[in-house]
Formats: sequence, C-alpha cells, structure tokens
Amino acid sequence: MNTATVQKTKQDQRVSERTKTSEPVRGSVNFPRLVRAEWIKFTTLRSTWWSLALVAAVSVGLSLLQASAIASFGDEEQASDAAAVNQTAVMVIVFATVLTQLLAVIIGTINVTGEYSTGMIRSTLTAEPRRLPSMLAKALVVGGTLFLFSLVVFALAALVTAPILTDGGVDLTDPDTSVMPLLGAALYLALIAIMGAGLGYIIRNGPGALAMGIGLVFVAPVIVLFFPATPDFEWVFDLAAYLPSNAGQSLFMGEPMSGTLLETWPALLTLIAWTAAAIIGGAAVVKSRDA
Amino acid sequence: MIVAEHLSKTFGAKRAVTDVSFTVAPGKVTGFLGPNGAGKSTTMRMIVGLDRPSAGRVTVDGRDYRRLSSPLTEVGVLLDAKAVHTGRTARDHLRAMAATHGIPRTRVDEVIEITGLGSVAKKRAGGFSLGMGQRLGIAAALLGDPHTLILDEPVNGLDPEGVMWVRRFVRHAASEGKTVLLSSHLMSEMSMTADHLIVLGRGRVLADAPLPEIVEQWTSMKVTVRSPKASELAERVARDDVSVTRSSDDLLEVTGLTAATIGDLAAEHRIPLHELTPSTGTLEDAYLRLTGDEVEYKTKDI
Repeated sequence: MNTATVQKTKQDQRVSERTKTSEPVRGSVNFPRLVRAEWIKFTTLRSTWWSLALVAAVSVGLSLLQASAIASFGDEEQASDAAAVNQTAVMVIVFATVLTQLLAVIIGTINVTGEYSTGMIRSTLTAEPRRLPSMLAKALVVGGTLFLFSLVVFALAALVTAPILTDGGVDLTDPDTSVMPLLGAALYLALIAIMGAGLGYIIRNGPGALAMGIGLVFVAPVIVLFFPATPDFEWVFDLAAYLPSNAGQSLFMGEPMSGTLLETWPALLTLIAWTAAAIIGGAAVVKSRDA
Repeated sequence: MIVAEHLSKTFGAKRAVTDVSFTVAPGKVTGFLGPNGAGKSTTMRMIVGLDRPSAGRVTVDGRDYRRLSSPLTEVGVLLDAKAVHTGRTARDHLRAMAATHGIPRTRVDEVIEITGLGSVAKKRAGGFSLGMGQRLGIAAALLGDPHTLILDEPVNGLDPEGVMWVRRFVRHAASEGKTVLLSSHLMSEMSMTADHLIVLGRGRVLADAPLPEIVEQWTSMKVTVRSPKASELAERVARDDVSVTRSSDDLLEVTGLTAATIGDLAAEHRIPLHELTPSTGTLEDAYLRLTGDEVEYKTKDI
C-alpha cells in the first residue's frame, strides 16, 4: 500500500465517521409534528415578535386614549348596572381592533408570502409533499397565537383602563356583555389572520396579498361610507354588512363601521365563511400549482 | 432507485423537459449534466413533487414522492435555488425541518457539525455566503439520514475544502449503497465524482451511460507524434479512416490509430520518433460534442 492509498483510506474513514449517525434516524410526518414545526418557524422570526409587540402597544395605547377621552367628558349619569358599565369598559378595549385588525391580516399574510419570497416554501413542501396538512398547521399556529395573544392584550388593556374610567372597569358578573365580546374580538382577529394567510397562499406575492387583505378589511368598509344613506343605496349597506370587518364589529362592538348590523350568529358565520373561503382558495392553489 | 418514465414538463408554450426516461441506480453516483436551461433542475423538482409533470411519471423506490409519509428520512434534497427563510438562523431552520418528522435535536446538532456550520449556526441565513448557504442546504438534506440524495449543483459556491468534502461525501454515500443523483455544470467535478452520467440538452436525454463509455464514445483518440521525418510518417499512416494534421515541420496529430500502431509502423519503416503521446478525450470534449447543437443560451465566438 503506497502513501497515496493510505492517505485515501484515512480520508474515507474520516468521512464515514463524520457522516455516520449515532443511531438510525427515524421519524415520520404527522399533524402535531407539523404544528410544532410551524410554531418553531413562527417564533423564530423577528418580524413575528415585532408585529406582536406592535399589536400590544397599539391595542393598550388606543384603549388608554379612549378611556381618558371618555373620562374627561365627565359623566352625565352614573351607570346603573353591569351591562351599562361594560358597554363603556369593553368598548374602550375592543375599539383598538380598528387598527390591530390590520396587524392581524399582516401577520397572517407575511407568514406565508415570506416563505414564497425567500424560497423557504420549497423546503416546507419537500418535507411535507402532501402540502395541505402543512398549510392547515400554519393556519392553526397563526390563528391560535392571535386568539390567545389578543386575550392577554385585552386583559392588560382592561387592567390599565379600569382606574381611569369613572364607572370602573369590566364587570365580569355579566359575561354576556364582558367576556363574550372580548372572546368575539379575539376570535375575529384570529380569523382574519387566518384569512390573511389564505390570501398569502392564493396570491403568493407579499405586496399583492397585503393590498388584497387590507383592501378587504380596511378600505372596503370606508368606501361604503361614501354612499348616501338613501333608500336607493340600501342594498349597498345590506351587502356591506357581510364585509369581514363589519361582520366582526357587529359581533363584538354592536355597531359596524358601515353596513347594517348583523345578529351574533350571522356575523360569526360570515367571518367563518370569509376565512374558510380564503383557506379553501389557498388550498386549491397550493395543491394545483407548482411551487 | 429513482425511475423516470416519459417525463415531460411544459411551462406555457415552453417545453422544459420532453419525454425523459432514466433510472438512477443505488450504489453509485449518477451525474446530471447539461447546459443551462437543459431541464436538470426542472426534472429534479419533478422528482421531489415541487413541479407536477405535464406527462409521464417519476418514482423514488417505487413510490410517488408526494405519497411518502416520511420524505426526509427517505430522500435528501438540495435544490439549486436557496430554500431557506433569510430571517431565520441556520439552527432554527434545521430545527423546524427536523420537527416535521420528529427528528431529535441531537441530529440537528450532528448535521451542523458534519457540514461545518457550527460557527454560523446562530446567525441568520440571509447573511450567508453562497458557500455557507450551500452547506446549510446539504445539512437539511442530511437531517433524516436518507438513502436517496438529490443534489442540484451541490458544489456551487463552495470553497475547495467544501468541494472536496462534497466529493468524498457523495462517493461515501454511494459506497454505502445509497442512491445519489447530483447535477453540475462543472465537468471536471463530474469526471471526478460521477460513475454514471445522464446528459440532458434542451429537455431531452442525449446520453445515459457509464462515464468512461461516454468519454470513449464521444471523443476520438488523438496521438501526438514528433519525428524529423514527419512527412514520410504522415504518408505511411495515411488511410481512409485516419486523419493526420501537421501542425509544424516535425509535429503530427493523428486521429484514428493507437499509439502502438503508429510506433510499430514507424519502426517498420525505420522512421525515428522523438515523441509519441496518446491523449484520450476528456469529458469536456465529449460534452461539447454531445450538446453542441443543444445549447439554449449560446455565446458568440469572439
């Protein structure tokens, strides 16, 4: 054996040492694992933390401003019961969703379009070539996080606004006017975040998907306000009630920005329908188009 | 084992891959060779289910990649374009990939060590050099310790140490009985790494044979002869199937005869020889002849 061969054998040994696994790697894909992977992906991006911090800051900040404004008007009459107290106390908190809904859409959207713009989607889809489970796992992580995080932020806003409001903070003795609207608002933010993710899968392009999402949630209800409130245009307001943000506000504020007020169930179903439509549309695109 | 049967892919009116069939056998390194736009990457993307074939089918170990329940432990993929979120650290990327299959964190540390990423594992991938990005891609391909490796341009951007490492690594994987398919446009790399070649040109298979066979079939043996009696020798060796070019007074280049035959002829006719150098063709020569008309993006001669 000459030196060259010895050298070569040594190298080969080193390679085998370096590539060998301590134990055979096993494992297969299942839904809980995909959720875990999506959770890791979600929490390991700085943009996630920035957006969530912004949601908290905007939400609590707006609630404080609103509470101070109401307190400074002075009270015409003392609220008589829990429902009346909550009408102000809860409104002060959920009012901030007018802005945080935008952040919810953005969080959902960029979580998907970021994968497309960076090429990460190719890693995601080669690890889970059936595609739909990974998509649903992402929707679950985005929606679940937004729901729980919103509840925490609302609780924080309730704590800091309570001392300012003359009638006191949220009164939990009447859950119908306290807990339910807060849950509704958190669910609303979760659902439109998922809708944003669905739009991301449909459009893929970040700016395009964001324009679509923000247009639908924020711009469309404003445009409706420009229509004159005459019987001729009543159909516009009836239809506008089913825009995602109007339906959401019917659900937890009792008064949509534009459009007629929807009852609780139609409002909730409208939101679920928008979310489902975006996710089903996204699924159809993800399944059929090349990545 | 990767089996492609009559694979075709069209993007709109453009035919990227046309009726491509081949088998990539385990236990050896199969090279995918072809000019830019020949369909190498598209074919690889079809193998791993990123692109849906317009016609035909491709299987890995008899199964459609899209139906695998544990793709990472069966097939390791490195795609040409970057496939990593730029805002995430290398380690977090690998952790997320591993989590989809319940691959333990110890394995993540292992592939980081194997690919030499240790010092940058906590840095965000957006700041990686081409070579580091390539190492990260290879690390991801190794996560599941798969028995099939599909590597698109694995040495692209790597430093010499990395190139050597990839070369040894794929040779070693093949020696363990794994199926290895790698593409490269670097012929020197291919000639050192691959056992078997599939040459693509404009989306078609131009050749599919062991590397030595391709070189032999597509190049001709050339012998350089130096002799003071070059003109006499030229007459002696002249035959229909032999071509002789005289580049200077005493120098001949003979194609179509072996060095031995030329030497014997010279001895027979008492022609002194000062040099007799056989040169086999290179893969590069073979490649250029194979793909000569199939290059989509042709440069102009200067």
